[in-house]
Amino acid sequence: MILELLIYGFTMGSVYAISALGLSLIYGVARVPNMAYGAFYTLSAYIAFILLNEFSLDFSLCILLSLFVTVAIAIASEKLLIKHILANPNSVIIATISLALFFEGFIQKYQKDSGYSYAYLPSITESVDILGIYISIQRVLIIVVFLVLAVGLHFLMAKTKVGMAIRAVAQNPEEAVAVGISKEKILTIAMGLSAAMAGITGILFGGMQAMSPYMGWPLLIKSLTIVTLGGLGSISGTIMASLILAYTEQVVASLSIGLISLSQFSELVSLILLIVILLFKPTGLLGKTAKEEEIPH
Amino acid sequence: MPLVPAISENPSYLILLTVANIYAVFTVSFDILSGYTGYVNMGYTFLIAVGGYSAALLNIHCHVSPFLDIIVGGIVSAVTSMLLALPSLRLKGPYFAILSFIYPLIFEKITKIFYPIFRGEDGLAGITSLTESLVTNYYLTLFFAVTSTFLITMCSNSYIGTIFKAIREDETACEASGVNITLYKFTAFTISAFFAGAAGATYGHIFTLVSLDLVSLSLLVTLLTTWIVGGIGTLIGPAAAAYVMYMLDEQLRRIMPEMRTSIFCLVLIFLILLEPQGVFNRIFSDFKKYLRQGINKEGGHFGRKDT
Repeated sequence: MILELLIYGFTMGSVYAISALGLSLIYGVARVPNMAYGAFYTLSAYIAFILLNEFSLDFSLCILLSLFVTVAIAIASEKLLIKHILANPNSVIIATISLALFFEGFIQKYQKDSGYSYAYLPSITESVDILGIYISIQRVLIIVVFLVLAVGLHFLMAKTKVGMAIRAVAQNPEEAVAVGISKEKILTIAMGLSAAMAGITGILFGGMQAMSPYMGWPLLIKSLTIVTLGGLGSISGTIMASLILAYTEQVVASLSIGLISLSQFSELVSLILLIVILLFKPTGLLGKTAKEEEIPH
Repeated sequence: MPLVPAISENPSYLILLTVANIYAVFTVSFDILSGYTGYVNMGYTFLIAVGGYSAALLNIHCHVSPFLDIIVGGIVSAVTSMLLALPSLRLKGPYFAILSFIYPLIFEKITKIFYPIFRGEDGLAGITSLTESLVTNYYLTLFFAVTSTFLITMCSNSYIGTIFKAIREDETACEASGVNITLYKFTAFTISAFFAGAAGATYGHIFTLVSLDLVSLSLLVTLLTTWIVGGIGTLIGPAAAAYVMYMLDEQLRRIMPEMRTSIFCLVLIFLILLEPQGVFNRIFSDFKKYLRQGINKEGGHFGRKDT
């Protein structure tokens, strides 16, 4: 029982971690969270679904195409919109929220017209026996993808020129420009990478729960909570925070006071946690010691 | 405006204008906080909903008369706004916007969790109508819109308004000048939330229903679009824009109900890109410049140089 909860929690933690790592990329470079991040997650899942059901393409081709389209949409919105209003963070927040709602309208219309009340992406439902527990291969796949992505991202950030440039812009944009890094290019790369991460989350998770046009918002809030908790720019901090959130949600969901089950309250965990962290430690609990300029005072 | 019922007895126009009056209160009270103090309150719909739901509960369960529970709704909302005002002492700019964005989401979850009380997706139905006649409803909401716009404008023209603007421009300098900015921020939140709550309660009495539409993102986007169209920090601008935008909103709702929010979002995005301070603001300032140039050409001697 406990081992089962541990593994299930770890799967959820992996999903959260993939998405939070993506958000922290763009948050770090742009210094404002991209509130349309959840919409990219929804978009990729629905694009894969549409390609699969309307054009009956091969699923692996669907995945590739949907990731490509999602990244293209993200880069287009960065080039056409976000780049121009970056100087005013409040504008970015309002604009990206409306961008997300803009896409949501189309997805809603599709869902209504197509008549799919419950949309699912294909997933691998066979189970494997691990230490006496049956867990579906989809969950194993999620954990594997997460580990590969985390290690890959770590190497990208630590060893490659692009990664170092991203880190440089995130730490000190003025000096990064002074040493010849193109801030605009880095912003585009970060936007593309983060949208790809959102897309991967969408495709992996779309097979595990019914898709809805609004499913991006909870994931956005959860990723924001994790990024704020784990500290910007820290991969290990983000992963730890994802696991903390996933396990906390699971514990709350399994609790009950008397006869009243608290399962519905698990959705509130991330919302309340985000408020508390923003209020008392906006630089993150697990992040490295924050620099003066990052403290919002 | 006051003559409308005399010209047309068509109930659909009357209801349209009645709701537009309430929208005008929404945008004016949004502007006094977000436009003047610079704390963009993305959780504004939360304050509307708190007022609307508390008035609705009082009305349904305790049979309180509409006029009393509208005021109570406003007060409850004003008190609840402390949940937003307290964080604003520590958080600025985007951090505050994100924090306030979370409140409507929490409200939505809570109405679903405590379904027996708040009725989740279904909303609270069975609220008594404001008055029996549509014409009286229209005049009452018009009176409400005019008084609240008047009161808020008075407030913004007084010393309080000057401090609000000072907080927006430079909070540290304002504090260093010996102004108790905590007090003024609380004042801004209280004024904004009182009118938001009262308007939310009135909205409930017009439709005899409050639902999660009050905390929906599409309402937020509609309000933000109206706000920016009207001109940030002009008060009268957003109030006037509320009528125009609400008419457009209703037309869109009739023609293409699904794409309504998407269209508003697109308009909002273009506005932010092209005219972030607001359309009316640009027209106002162009008009002023034109007037000044006219005076300069004729008199010239007392004309000041534009700096």
